[in-house]
Amino acid sequence: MLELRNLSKSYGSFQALKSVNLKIAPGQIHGLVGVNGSGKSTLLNILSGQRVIRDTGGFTGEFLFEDADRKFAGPGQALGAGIGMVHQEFALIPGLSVADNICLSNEKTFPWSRKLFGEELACINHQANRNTASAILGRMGIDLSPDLMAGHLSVAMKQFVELAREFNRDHLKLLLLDEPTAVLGTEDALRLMTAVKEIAAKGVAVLYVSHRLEEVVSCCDCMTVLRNGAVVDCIHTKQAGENQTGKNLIKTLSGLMVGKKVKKTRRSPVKRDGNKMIRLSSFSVEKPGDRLDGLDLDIYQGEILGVTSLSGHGRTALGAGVMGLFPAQGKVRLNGNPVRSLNPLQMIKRNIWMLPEDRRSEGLLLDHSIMENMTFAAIQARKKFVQKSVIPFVRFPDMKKCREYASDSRDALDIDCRSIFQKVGELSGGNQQKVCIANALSMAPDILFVNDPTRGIDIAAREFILSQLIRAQACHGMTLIISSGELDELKRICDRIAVLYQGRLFDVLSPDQSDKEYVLACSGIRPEAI
Amino acid sequence: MTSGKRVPLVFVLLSGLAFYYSGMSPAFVLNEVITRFIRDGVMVLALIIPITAGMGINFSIVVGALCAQAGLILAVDFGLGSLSGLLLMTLVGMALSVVSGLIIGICLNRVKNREMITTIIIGFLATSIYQLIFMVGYGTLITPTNQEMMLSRGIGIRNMVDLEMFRNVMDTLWLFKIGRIEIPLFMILMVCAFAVMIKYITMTRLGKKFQVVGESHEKALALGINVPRVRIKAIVASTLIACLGHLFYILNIGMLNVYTAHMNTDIFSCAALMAGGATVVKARVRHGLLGIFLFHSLFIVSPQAGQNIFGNPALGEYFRSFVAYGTIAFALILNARNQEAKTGSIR
Repeated sequence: MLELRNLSKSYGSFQALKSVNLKIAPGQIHGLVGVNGSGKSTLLNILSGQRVIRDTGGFTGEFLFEDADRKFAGPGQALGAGIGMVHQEFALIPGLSVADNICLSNEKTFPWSRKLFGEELACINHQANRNTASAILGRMGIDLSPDLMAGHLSVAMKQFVELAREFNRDHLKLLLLDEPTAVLGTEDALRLMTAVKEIAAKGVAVLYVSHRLEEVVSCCDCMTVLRNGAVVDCIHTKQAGENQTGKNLIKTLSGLMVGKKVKKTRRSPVKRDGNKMIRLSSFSVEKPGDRLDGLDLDIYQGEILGVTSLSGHGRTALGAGVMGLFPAQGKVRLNGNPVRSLNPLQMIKRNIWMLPEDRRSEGLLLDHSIMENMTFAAIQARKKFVQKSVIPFVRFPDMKKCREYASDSRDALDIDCRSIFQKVGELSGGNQQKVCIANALSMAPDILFVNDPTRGIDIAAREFILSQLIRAQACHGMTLIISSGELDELKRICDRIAVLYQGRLFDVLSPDQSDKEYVLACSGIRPEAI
Repeated sequence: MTSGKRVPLVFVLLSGLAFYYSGMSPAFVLNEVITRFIRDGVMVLALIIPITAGMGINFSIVVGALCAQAGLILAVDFGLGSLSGLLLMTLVGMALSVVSGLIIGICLNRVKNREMITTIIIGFLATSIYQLIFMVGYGTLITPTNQEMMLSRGIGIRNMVDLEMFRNVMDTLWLFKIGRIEIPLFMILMVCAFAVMIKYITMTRLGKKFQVVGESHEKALALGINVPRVRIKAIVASTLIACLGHLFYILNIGMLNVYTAHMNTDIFSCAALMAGGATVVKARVRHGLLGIFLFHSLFIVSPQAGQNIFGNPALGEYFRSFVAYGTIAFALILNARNQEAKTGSIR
């Protein structure tokens, strides 16, 4: 059905795809794996006809779909040819109902109006659309009213609605799934995969892109591994199945993806009971989507404290609350002194800094250069990298020092970029996080809150970022508070791990306790209760 | 209480208060409001589609108004009366507004997210081009056939052009009287027909596309919608409706104020729509219809109320523009605040 022959694509001098060959048969679920920046997104953009491809000079090689050579000028043409896509960032329209979203640009209309005014000005039959939507959701085993606003749905439900929209297309032949389960829990992910298998059984070809290798192995017939824009290998599950079990296959895959062995960052925990750096008592924070409700927690000087919880139970609200980014209540003591009002400027002056989980919107100025992003906060709040001046209040940034710091950090943190003047928005997720870290280090904080440091970052860059955090902590003697849902990472680098449940401290566990104890604690269950 | 209800409520209270102090008779006010409803109704409705398509308030409906005036002047120039004249001016106006709508649409596609300020400037620019044509072009490059409408120096059109041949062609159709209140049913139905038409458009596939584009360009693009084309369609529709609306306005007055009739149509229409509870991102037909009544009631009674309270009619006049601009500013600020609350932005 789909065949790519020697497909190449370059952005300027950077080659994103190098003569990729790929074949998908009708009814086949084809997995596509690779680390960040390996060219998965570029490939999906070409297949779904995104404009960015044509705007940057198109691609070379053959793209055969149903035996015809294709070069889409826009997503509309790809849809017309029967290629549907479920997007990683939701392409749902929040202001429309579930039914409207599912039937979008495929609406049922009244026949009389169609005859009278033509397709474009035909009156939409809402009842028929509602029925269609309920039928499709029912088939997927989802109990959801089609009249709800899409914007009010939970993340998991949004993903299902998006999938339902693609299922609703009459002549869907190829379905592209870009990380469909990234936001889902295990159970929801299973449901989604069942739905995908069902549609594949009807003869629709599926290209399944995911970071979760277990899923790819369990549901795909065939897997292509991309590395640095080139196909490294193509594994057929059935052929491999003879001599390889699932776990081995995953190992093989991750080896192929990275190309070299990844060394896992590890650090032995240090027990501290010295100076209490931060004391929180009945601390409450209101952050949209996450909240703390009466947290009592002591943080010791110089420790690495892990904070974990299920999402929505308060792990990301802690740092944001202490920084004063969201309304907070309760008592905060810094080095024994009570803090009266929490606001970002005050906290920065007290040498506290935070790396937010949403780097792109909260941590970086995307349209500014790497250098500006690394030095901005230090220039503004610390008067670092600033020229001496005779006139008071008029002090200019010292561009030489800025450049020096930026190039040093680039080398130290191994940031992959054209130059330090490149816009941060053009970097990959891992490199953006490194810029954030360089920015934080320029502030030389005593206390650093880090939220989800490895979110959306591939395996190789993850370990590097963790090792840099450890190194920074060791060099500057700062107190590091890492909030993350990745238990495995926290257990490897933290001294203690606080588990939050419903916005309160449930327990403080040590890193060598078993996964089972952590899972129970995250769900708010004491081991002795079982 | 949502903003959709708060603003109209303020207007009801203000108009009630002003009406009490003005001492005007209810019949007079009602007659005036009906007249204004016919004159300005369609113009207000012209704003709804661009707002749905996420382009904010289309201040360049002024351009549509200018197209209508150009059509009118041509009809007068050729000396065509009643029906044939009506037909000519409508056709010319519509053709011109489709062309200028296309041009505006293409311009606006280049200035995404800054549509409102751009349409304001486009309106000013169109006004000056229009003035150039009819003040200087007529009598020099264009030879008029009807000398009566020219200035005595032979170049340029008079300030006022009498539209005697069109007066009372449509206004008196199906005219009813209930007591002292006159109801020109045909014209009211015409305005309502426009309202129904726009409501219908919002219920069609095209209407859904407008809505999707209004919510997010990126998402609409990803879903295979040709965003630039949809936006152009929205502006063309708006300009076209504005052109027809302005014809209603001038024909109802019966005189064409060549150089000033189009002035402020955008501001007053916009204020009326906002008074009905619309915002710059959300407008419905009902907002338009309600808004015309509320805004113009206040508009009619406020000068007299000013006269009676402060002994100075000028204060009432000032109050009028205060009300118009105040409503728009209020709606803009309110809208910004609502959006902040929606995205839950950082304090």
